[in-house]
Order: sequence, then C-alpha cells, then structure tokens
Amino acid sequence: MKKKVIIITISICLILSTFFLLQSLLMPKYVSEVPEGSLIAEYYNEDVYDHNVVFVGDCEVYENFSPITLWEEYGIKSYIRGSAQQLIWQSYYLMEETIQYEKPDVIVFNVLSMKYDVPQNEAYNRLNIDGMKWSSSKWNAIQASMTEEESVIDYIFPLLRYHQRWSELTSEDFEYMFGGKPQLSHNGFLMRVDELGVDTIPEAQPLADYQFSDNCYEYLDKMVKLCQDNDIKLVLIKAPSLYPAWYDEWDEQMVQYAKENHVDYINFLNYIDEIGLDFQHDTYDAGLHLNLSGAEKLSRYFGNYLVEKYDIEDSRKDSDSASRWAKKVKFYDDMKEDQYRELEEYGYLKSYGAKEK
Amino acid sequence: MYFTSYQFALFLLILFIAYYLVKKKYQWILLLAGSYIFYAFAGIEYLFYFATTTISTYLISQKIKKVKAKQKEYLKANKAELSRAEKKEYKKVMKSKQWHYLLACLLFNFGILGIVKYTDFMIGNINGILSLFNGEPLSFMNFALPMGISFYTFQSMGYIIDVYRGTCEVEDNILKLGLFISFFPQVIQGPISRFKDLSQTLYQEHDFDLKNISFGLQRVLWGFFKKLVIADRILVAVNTLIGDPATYDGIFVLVGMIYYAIELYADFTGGIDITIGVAQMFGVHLTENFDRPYFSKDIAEYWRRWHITMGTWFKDYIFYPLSVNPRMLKFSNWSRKTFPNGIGKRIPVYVSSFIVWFATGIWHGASWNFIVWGLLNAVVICLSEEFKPFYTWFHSHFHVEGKTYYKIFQIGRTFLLMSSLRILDCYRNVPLSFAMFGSMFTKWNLPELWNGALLNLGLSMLDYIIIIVGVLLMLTVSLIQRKGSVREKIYQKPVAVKFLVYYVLIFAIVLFGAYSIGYDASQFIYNQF
Amino acid sequence: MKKVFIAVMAALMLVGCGSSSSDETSQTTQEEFVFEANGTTVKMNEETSSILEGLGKEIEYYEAKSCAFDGMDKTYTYAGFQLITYPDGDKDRVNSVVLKDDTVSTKEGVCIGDTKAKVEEAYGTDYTEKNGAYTYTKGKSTLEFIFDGDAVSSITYTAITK
Repeated sequence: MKKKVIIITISICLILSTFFLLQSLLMPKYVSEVPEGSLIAEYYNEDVYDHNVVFVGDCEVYENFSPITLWEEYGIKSYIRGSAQQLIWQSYYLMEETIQYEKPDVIVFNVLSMKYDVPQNEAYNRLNIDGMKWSSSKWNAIQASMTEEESVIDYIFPLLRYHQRWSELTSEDFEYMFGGKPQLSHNGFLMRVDELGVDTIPEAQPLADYQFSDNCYEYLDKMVKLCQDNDIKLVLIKAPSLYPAWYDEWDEQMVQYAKENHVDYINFLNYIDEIGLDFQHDTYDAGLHLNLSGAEKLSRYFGNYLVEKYDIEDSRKDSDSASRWAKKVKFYDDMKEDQYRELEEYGYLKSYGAKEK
Repeated sequence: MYFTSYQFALFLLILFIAYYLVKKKYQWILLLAGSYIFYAFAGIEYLFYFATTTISTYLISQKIKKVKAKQKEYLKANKAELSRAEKKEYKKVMKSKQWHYLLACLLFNFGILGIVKYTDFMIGNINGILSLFNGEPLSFMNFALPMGISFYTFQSMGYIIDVYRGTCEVEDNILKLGLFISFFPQVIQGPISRFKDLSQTLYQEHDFDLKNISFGLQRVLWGFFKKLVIADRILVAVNTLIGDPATYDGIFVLVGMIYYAIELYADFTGGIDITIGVAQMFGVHLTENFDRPYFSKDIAEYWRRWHITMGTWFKDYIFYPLSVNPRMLKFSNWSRKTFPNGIGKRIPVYVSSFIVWFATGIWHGASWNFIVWGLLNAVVICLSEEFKPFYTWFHSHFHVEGKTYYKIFQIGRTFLLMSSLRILDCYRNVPLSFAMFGSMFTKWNLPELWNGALLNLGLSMLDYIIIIVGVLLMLTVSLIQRKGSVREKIYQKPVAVKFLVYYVLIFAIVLFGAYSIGYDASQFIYNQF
Repeated sequence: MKKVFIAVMAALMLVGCGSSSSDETSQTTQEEFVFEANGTTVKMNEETSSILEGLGKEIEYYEAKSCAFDGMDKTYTYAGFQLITYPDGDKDRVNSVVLKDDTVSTKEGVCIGDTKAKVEEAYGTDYTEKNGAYTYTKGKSTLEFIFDGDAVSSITYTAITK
C-alpha cells in the first residue's frame, strides 16, 4: 500500500513538472515578434523602485515619452507601465499594483482608453495581463477584462491557452524557456528611430453618442481616489497622436472632469507647435505614434512642466541614482546606434518588430 | 455543464473526494445531490422536469405494486373457491387496472417530452400546410429543451414498463428512484440503463478500489482523447464541407461522409467512454453502448453494435409489444392469407420495423431529415431481408463467405452504407441530402482533391497527421479489444508502462486537444502567437 | 410482385418527405445593406480588391497600423464618402462606409440633409435608437443615421464582423 502511495505521488510530480515545463516552453516570448508583450513584465527587473513619475496607459505612453530624456534633461526618474491597447481598468489595477512597490510623486494617465467601455480583444488582454505578477490586482484585472470566450483558468494555467503553439515553436521559445530574455524597453519606452511622415489624416466620422461610459468614469474616479489616498499627484493627458480621432466632445468631458476633481489635464494635441513636433519626421507610423525624435521633444516639453508644477527633485546629484541611470543611458544610446545601423543596412528595423516595407 | 468544460473537472474532483470520505451508506445520496447540482448548472428550472418525472413514476409504480400485491393476496386467499374462468377474469381486470396506471404515466411523461421537443416541429408543418391556403402562420413556442430529456424519459419509462410486466422490483425509496432517473454521467447522452442492471451497483456501498478507479480514469482519459484530439479537430473540416454544399459537391460529399463518420464515432464513443469511466470511478457499472460498430458486416449487425441501449430499448419496449399486439396478429393472419410465397409472413415484421424506425428517427430529432433517415434504415433492413435468397445463391456459387477479403469487403460496404444514410444528419434538409448524394455520381471533380483542396478545409497538414495517428490508435485499440480488455493488459504490465499510458494520454490531450481560444481557427490574429 | 410492393412503399415514404420543413439552419444568404457609387456595389465584409478597382483612384489614402499586431486599417477618401477596411489574413474587407456630404446618397435614396420622416419612409421603423441616432440592422451590416435636429447629419454603413 505504501509503495502504491509513493508511486502515485511520484507520478503526479512527474506529470505536474512536465506540465509546467511545457508551459514555460509554449508561452510566447515576445522578443523578436510582438515585443510589446514584454513591457509589463520588465517592470519587475528594476533594481530600485524610486521613480518620481510613473506613466500608465496604452501605446500612446510607451511610444511617446522617453524616460532617458527626462533623466538627462531634468534628473527625473520615471517608468512607463504601458502596454498595447491597455484598457482603463487594466490601467487602474496596474496603478494599484505599482503603489505596492513604490510611491511616485506623480502618476500620468493617458485618457484615450476612456473610449473603450467593455472588454475588447483577447489577444491584447493577454499582452497586458500575462506579464503581471500574481496579486489581487492581477486577479481583478482578469475579472474585469475577460471577453465572453475567456476563462480564468486560462490565465492561471496559460498552457491551456497556448498549447496549440507546439506547431509554431521557434528557437526563441527554447532559448528563453527559463527566462534570460534580453531587455527590450527603456524603463517601459519602446524605441523606434524610423520615420514615416503624414500629410493629412482622414476626417473622423461623427458619432451618435460622445458621452464616455459610466464604467470608465468609475475607474477614473477610482484612480483619483487611489492617488489622493496615497498622496500622489494624478495628471491626465492626451498624447499628441493624430490618429485615432480624439473628438472635441471627448476633450470637453476631460477638461470638465479634471476641473471637478482637481487634477491636471493636458491635451498635447493643442501644443504641437510649442512642443516643436514635425509630423513629417517625428512619427514612425504616419501620426499614430511618435518616434524617438518626437518622444524626446515631447519629454523635454513635459519634463519642464513637471519640474515647474510639481517641483520634482533633480536626482542627477545623487551618486547612487546617477550610476544606475548611467547604465540605462548607455543601453539607450547603444540601441539608438544599433537601430540606425539596421535602418542603413536593411531599410527597416528588422530586429525591433518592424515589418519590411 | 459539458464534459469538456473546466467546471465539470472541478465538480468531478470535489464529488469524487467527498464520495470516498463520506460514510459508505450515504454515498448514493451524495450521487443524487451531485446529479441535481450537475443538472442545475444547465438551469435550475430544469430540476422541475426531473422532479415531475420522478414523482409521477414513483406514484404510479407504487399504485401498480399495490394492485399486484392485492391480486396475489386475493388469489392466495381464494385459491380453492374460484374457478379457472373466474381467476382468469379477475386477473384480466387487475391487469387492465395496472395497464391504465401505466398508460397514465406513459402519456404524462411522453407527453412532456412530446410537447417540449416536438411542438415547434408540428407548428412548422402546420404552417407549411397553412401557407398553401395563404393562412396566417402560427408563431413558434420555442420551449427550452431540458438537457437529456429523451434519455432520462426513456430510461424511466422503461422502468415503469418493467414494473408493469413484473420483470423488475419496485423501488420503494423515492430518492433512490430519483437517482436512477437523474444519475449525472448518463443523463447527457446515455447509455439508457435498465433498473435491474443499474440498481446492482448504484446504491451499494463502495470501497476505495484503486484498480477500479484507475480503470475508470484511463477510460475517461481515452474518451477525452477521442473527443478533444480527434473529433473536435476533424469537426472543423466537416463544418466547412457541410456549410457550403454548392462548392463541396461531388467527391467532397464522399470526403464529408468519411470525415463525419470519424467525427461522430470519436465524439459519441468518446462521450460514452467518459460516461462509463466516470461511473466506474464511483464504483457504478453502466452497460456498454458500443461494440466496435464499424467492424459490422451488415446493417442488422451494425444496429446491434451502435448505440446498443437505444436499439434494445426500442426492441424490448416497442417492437416486441407491437409484434404481439392482437391487432398486429390479426393483420399478420390476413397478410399471410393474402400475399403469396412467404412474403405474407414477412410483411407484418416489416410494418413493425417501419413503425419502430419511424419512432427511432423522430427520437433523434424533431425534423423531417431524421424521420427520413429512420425510415431509410428500415428500407435497407427490409431490402436486405428480401435479398437473402440472392445472397444464398451467390454464396453457393462463389465460395467467399468467411474469407478475410470478403469480410473486409462486407465491412467496407456497411461502413459506406451507414455513412451514406448519415448524410441526412449532415445537411439537415431532405431534398438537399438526396441532391448531394446524387452529385457523387453525377459530378466529376475528383481532380480537385489533388489540388490541395483538402488543406483548405480548416485543417493543416499537421492536423491531418494527428487525426490519422488518432484513427490508427482507435483502430489498434479496437483490434486488441477483440481479444480482451485493453486495460487488463495494461494492468499486467510494469509500473513504468502504466505510468507511460497515463502520461502520453494526458499530454496528448493537453497539447493536441482542440480546445480553448487559441484553437479558434477563425481568429486570424492568433497567427501571431 | 413482392419487390414492387416494397419499392412502392419506400417511394411513397420518400415522396411525402420532400415538402419544405421548418429548417432552423437556413442556408440562403442573408441580405445586407449595400452602398453604390460609380456603378460599383460596396457590400459590408466583402473583399475589397474589385471594389477599389471599380471606385477608381481615391482622393486621399491613410493607413493605420493596429496597436501591436500586423494588419492595417485603411481609409480611402472619395468624393462624398469614405471607405474603411479591416485586414483579414492577407485580404482586406470592407469595415464601413461613411457618407460625408449630399453629393452621394444611400441605395434607397437618402442623403445628408434629409428629414427623419424620409429615413423612416425608406427604411421603416424597425431601428434601435441611441441618443437620437437611428441604427438599422440587416444581415451582417448596420446602417446608422445621426441627426442634427430633424436633418440627417451623418450616414454610416458598418460591417458586423463577429
């Protein structure tokens, strides 16, 4: 009898280990394909959680702001907790989780996601949530984000969701099976040096109803309260992306909301000239997102605002911060060089998720 | 709750642990509670149907029991005084009483089934007739169909008929009867059990028997393998073929027939494997429902090996009573006198067959394609009877009977025949089904097959490899089973082999199963992952 | 004789079943809202290559990449209307058509500036209303009319993609 128990226990252990091994193998690694998927998890690689500013939001934050510029010009330490098509409830729970790690002076939130009232797309949900470490925030984010065909157990055991990838495995899946992924972002910023200018953006189609949903306002209220309770300044922004459309009616609602809740709201679309953005050269995808040059310009402008309004200390004097950030700056400059080289050699950013023209 | 859902796995785990922790005499009560909870997941209002059938069956069975007991007592007490004729008359009266009770129960429960399942079908036909006279169509009732109603109604009505016939003990505990009717593993797709058989193991106290449980678990895993890896995978192609009859005619009908034959077999037998395996894990023994049916050499044999419990139910409770019914006997006499050469003897049997097959067809579904399917089965069975003289003549001249190649021919012929009949199940439309069948002979598009058309049905080359390996595996298991239980053979092998069986099955299901969102072939965006 | 009898019985059974039945799974193609311009028919969810040929050269063209994945949403601006497509594998399909001014009209003859009454006359009253806008659904397409007072201010055809 005892022998049977031992055999069964060993068998179960073997089966469970195979299960988790397969899970590590079959989960997508998001290194050369869809690097956006790695963003959320990279936050946990930070050595010290002492950022003055944390950005939260969708691709309009992780493509439009450069933490390195904020550091180099103003000594501001920042992190961008952004991910692709991050929905407002996902942003809220990320904020909640971040506060468990640190208490920044300012949290910046991009309000484009107010337009998404309900769960949208399973693929983006996975990009935004899989990378989070397990916490009550992750659980709540899953519950709020699941589309109809999703199930919580697919998040607890991702192998059940990704099992069919066995027919699509690449060497990358084996290489990074147990971690060791290269760092892809600069404190959450995804660098793109290529350019694709834009002349005109198509006229936006009118909507029947411009009112943001109650669900989204509820989460916005929660964000305001969370920051208030933790003595953090919340700044709402609309990044200067020309597309998708940001209607005046939406803008008015945000202006009104900010006033009523005593938070700042900046619509960067109104300051394009002041920022010095040139959409012939400062965007890599015809106006949806800024490239490196655009992001640096915007960061320069916003950094100035942050320092003046919120009196954020200049940490360049602190030797510990300085030495840590020096490494980050080096990594940034190296990647910049590498990207320009690839652009020369291939005409497009081959290793950075871009597709051949 | 579907078998292939996460909730079912969790439900089963909890129930299983509780079952072997609780005091043995309460095990059957736990099963009853579990069955009702299982059913409630489909909708708590459906429990009303269970309760109604259980209560009505119980009350009637008690009434019949009383009449029988009274009859026995009376006859015993008055054994000496009564004449033979008087005794006969008395028995007749008592039988009639029991019959009336039985009829009430049958009408009531089949009535519920009829109304819930067939009302809209009747309305559809009435509307068809009305439209000929430009009448106003009736609106459909859209009754929600309680899960498994065809199965549990037949199972409980089988019980009450057995009680009436005296071939079955009456269950005096209404809760135990309730468990018989609602036992969760079999409520979705059978098998349709007889009370005499199921009661042997359903209410007993069960020890934690590791061998039994592991056999049950192996069977469950095998069922999941067939369902998730083979059936759900090939279903994609089946749906493509059936969903576009205009494009997929001619040779593609044959392809569809074969794919569907594989899909239905893997899905249905897989489901039954899960059912029987789960029951076995609880120490309950359920009757087999399949006996390697695709090895059948003719249609009659096929129906003794496919969906066995349904076949025997119709045979025992409709065919035989029908055959010995006085009216049928009268017709039989008339037929024997009227028609020459022995056909007169066969016609009553054929008439009974047609009635039974009509019932079988309509049991499968409330639409004409199922009725036609049922009747076509009857036609084929009757025709094969009529062709017997021809076969006898054939076998006397060509000595092929019993030879392996001839057996293979018979198996192939039966397989194609049954697959052809199933076309009615695929297209769900009678004229279309016949048209598609005909197109196999009139449309010549065989060359399209070589042009990679098979890879445009939603299955990749890898999918085909998996399906082929799966089918070969099913075939191998079936061939081995002819010589005895596969699980017993595994049981004799060393531990490492036993472990390997579990290991391979589990990970074949986890990796190759066609489940979860990632498998949705229509979501192009997953090509990224 | 006996065989004829059975054949006749069988035939009778089959003939009786050829009538139409209440078929839930209809295989007829559903109708949809359709837009016409330059003699070209634009149907929602339809593949765009032939449509684009028929419509001729666009005034303006814009490509918008989706957030992380492959595939571009494309906007083609023509005189009086916009055509927006979505990617499906390596094909593009019609996602929506937005009418911009009164130089174009719907197939049923309604254009920007027409009254609510005219809309109801052309399309009936089986619409869903949200914030004053009327949305009609037909098959896998919707047709939305937004009003400014009593006048149509915007007309949009949209494909239902799920």
